Amino acid sequence: MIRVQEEPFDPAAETASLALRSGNAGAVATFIGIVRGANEEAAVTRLHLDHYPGFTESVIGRMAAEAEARFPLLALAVVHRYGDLGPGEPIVFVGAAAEHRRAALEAVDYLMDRLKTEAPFWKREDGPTGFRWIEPREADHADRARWTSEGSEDARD
Amino acid sequence: MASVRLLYFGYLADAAGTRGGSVDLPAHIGDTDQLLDWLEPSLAEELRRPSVRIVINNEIKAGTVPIHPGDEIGFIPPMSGG
Repeated sequence: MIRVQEEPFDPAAETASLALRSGNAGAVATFIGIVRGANEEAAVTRLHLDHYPGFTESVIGRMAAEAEARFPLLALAVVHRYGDLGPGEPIVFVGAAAEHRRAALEAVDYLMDRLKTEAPFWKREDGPTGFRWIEPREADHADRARWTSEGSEDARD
Repeated sequence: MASVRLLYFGYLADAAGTRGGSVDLPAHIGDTDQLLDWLEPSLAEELRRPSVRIVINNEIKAGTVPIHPGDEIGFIPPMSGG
């Protein structure tokens, strides 16, 4: 299940819905990304997310399919917001259900690393002194590279 | 004259002063390189940065790519979700 939406979402409701869809899962792992009130010591009053309607959904759909091919999952959920968000608001929800914990935990970790570097979103931080567009950090690319090994399905630049 | 949709995302929309829309291209423009030559030079300079990718009809393309009437051509800076 993938949703890209402007409206806020309720992480607890998303988790419950995922658990309901996963049948006899022995493990449900979730990640919730939250807008920080400051980044590198600069105050952030608002985070604006630009997205590419159609393309964004299609890229996340491919990532989710690759996660399902890579880990034995019973259900998967990605909810991502766009538009204007304030500090403390959930921006992304990733949840995976599996028979055992390792697959669920790793699928969430894998999807977050890919979302951070490959999902078509562009973030602008607005603060008291102006705004700045932010790009993935070196650490994000290093995290992403952990999942790429020779011969793996998603091994590409 | 071929009509295409040009779209700009993130800081590129600021650079272009627009999020994009339909554009009628002169008949001689047949690929993305010719398109960039035709655009306003300061915008083209931004779009030619190595970090900028071109998305044609929802597929990321590399290098110089042919353009066809009706194509949707998006210019995207480095992506970052989550």
